[in-house]
Amino acid sequence: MWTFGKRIFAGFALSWALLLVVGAVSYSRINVLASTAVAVDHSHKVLEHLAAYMGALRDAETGQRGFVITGEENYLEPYNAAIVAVPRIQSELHELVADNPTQLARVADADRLASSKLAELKRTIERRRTAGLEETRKEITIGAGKALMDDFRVALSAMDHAERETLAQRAQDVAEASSSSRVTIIVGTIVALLAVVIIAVWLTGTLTTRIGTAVQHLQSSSAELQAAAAQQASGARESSTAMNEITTTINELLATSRQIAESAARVAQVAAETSTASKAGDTTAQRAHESVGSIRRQVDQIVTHMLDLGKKSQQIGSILEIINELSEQTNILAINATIEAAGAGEAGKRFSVVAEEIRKLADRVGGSTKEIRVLIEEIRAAVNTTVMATESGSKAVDLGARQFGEVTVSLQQINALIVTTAESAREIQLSTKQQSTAVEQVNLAVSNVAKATRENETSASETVLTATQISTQSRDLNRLVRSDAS
Amino acid sequence: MSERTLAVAARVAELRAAFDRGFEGAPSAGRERLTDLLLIGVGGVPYALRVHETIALAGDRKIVRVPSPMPGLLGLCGFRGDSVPVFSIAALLGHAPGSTAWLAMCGPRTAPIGLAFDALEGYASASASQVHPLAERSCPHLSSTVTLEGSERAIVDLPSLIALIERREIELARASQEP
Repeated sequence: MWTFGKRIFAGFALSWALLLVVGAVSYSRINVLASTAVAVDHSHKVLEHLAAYMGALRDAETGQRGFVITGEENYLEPYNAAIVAVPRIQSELHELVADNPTQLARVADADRLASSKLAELKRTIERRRTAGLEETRKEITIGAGKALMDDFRVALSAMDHAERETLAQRAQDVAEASSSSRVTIIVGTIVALLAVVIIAVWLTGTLTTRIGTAVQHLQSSSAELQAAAAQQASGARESSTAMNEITTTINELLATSRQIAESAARVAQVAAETSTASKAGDTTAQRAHESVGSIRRQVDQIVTHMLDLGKKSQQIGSILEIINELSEQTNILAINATIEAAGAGEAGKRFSVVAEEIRKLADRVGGSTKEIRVLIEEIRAAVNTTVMATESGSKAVDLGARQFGEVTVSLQQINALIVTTAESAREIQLSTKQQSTAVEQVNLAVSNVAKATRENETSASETVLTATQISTQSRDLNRLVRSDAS
Repeated sequence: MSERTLAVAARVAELRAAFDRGFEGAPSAGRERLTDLLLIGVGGVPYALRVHETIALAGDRKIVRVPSPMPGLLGLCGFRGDSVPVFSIAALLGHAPGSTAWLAMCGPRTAPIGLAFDALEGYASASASQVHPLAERSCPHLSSTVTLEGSERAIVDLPSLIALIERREIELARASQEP
């Protein structure tokens, strides 16, 4: 995806690259041109030094001729000046042709000839001073000096010729470099201008289309943003109202939490008192349980005794049955004795009295036996009733003992629950205090939120205004971007 | 000493006094004016037997059943070395047959007859004023009644029953002799 920045950067980068290429080529050509100009200047310096070299030797020869002819020392001034100048010229010339071995060899050859020539001049000058003009003329006439001078001229002429050829070549190079630079600058400039125009047209078309579309999107988005901001403002107002209600509710919750904390503290105190009472009740219940156990043992003993009593009464009843049977048999015997006595007539009257008394005794024994039986039955019934009642009591005692045990366990459980309740109440108290602190923090946070909501409401109103402005500006921008949009 | 103990002691003293009084007077003094009665129960109805009309009283005797056309005959039982026929008083008086817990021996001593009844309720001595003849005799073997402690019971006429039994024996004997 090519962004605006990338497109613009690409356009400018391409233009910059073209300019860089044109500049680089031009710079290269100018460098070639400059270096060629330096070489031309160098050639001119070499030529100047060759001319100076030739002039110095010519001056030395001129001074030698004047002195030889006149014999006056003042004619030696050109010679003396040349003696001084020649070494300097030779040194500079060596430096100038140091990069050219051919020329350097020619300079060395010329230097050798110059030294020979200067030595010949010096010798002839000394000959003139010592031998006079004629002797000197004879020696000069031999022509050795002239030959050296001619060779020197030939050597310098060769060097001059070679240097001038080099100069001509370098001049041609300068012309070619200059022409190439002009062509490069003209062609590069034209190509760069064409590229800039094409890029400008491409960027303008692309950016106009994209920016127009984006501006339209921005326009529609700004409208949506305006609507959303209006809704946000409305929501912010509602949130502000809700926050006020929440703040009121949280204040009530805070007051309630404090009341709960106070109530939890009271509950913890009551639970502690209840725990003490429950422990006392537990102790009492355990004592009662022990008492019930003692009662149970005593009741068991009573049951045992009553069962023994029942067994004894049954034994008495058995014995009484024997007595009753004996009394009945005695009664029958007495009745029969009475009958027999009555049958015996007068003789049996006394016996009848005895029999009568025996029968009465038997009757009384029988009556007493019945009474005893009734009493024994009553005793047995009472024993049975007592046993049953005692067993019921024993069961009740067992039940009571179990219930006391359950009561003890229940009291212990109640005590444990009360302890748990006390701990829970303390935890509730602590938690409620923490809750109160948290609610205070929430209240503060809600106040901040309410403040933020009001600020949000203001911001939303500003957003609505900004969205309206953006919408207006986007329409203006759209008109600016697309002439047909208007 | 408890009240019950005192009552028992008083009763013991009364019994001792009564026992002593029984031997203080002459053997026959006042005895002739009283009628000794056996108080029995037959079919749930109280009756009385005159002691002097019996020769013995026995209880829980083994009665051996024997086949006989004689009405009211229950069987035979041992009495003083002899076999004695036993009749049911209930059957003879027209009641439904009851138990045979008690036997009253009657009749001549040489040939006694056992009369079985359900219960022996007691022994009583009644004065002449306590004994009344029955105005309407619904049963020929009940001739009088005795009033004891406010209640009245019929006195079974044992000789009449013996006579009835003897008559039936004679009738059976005659019936057996007739062709």
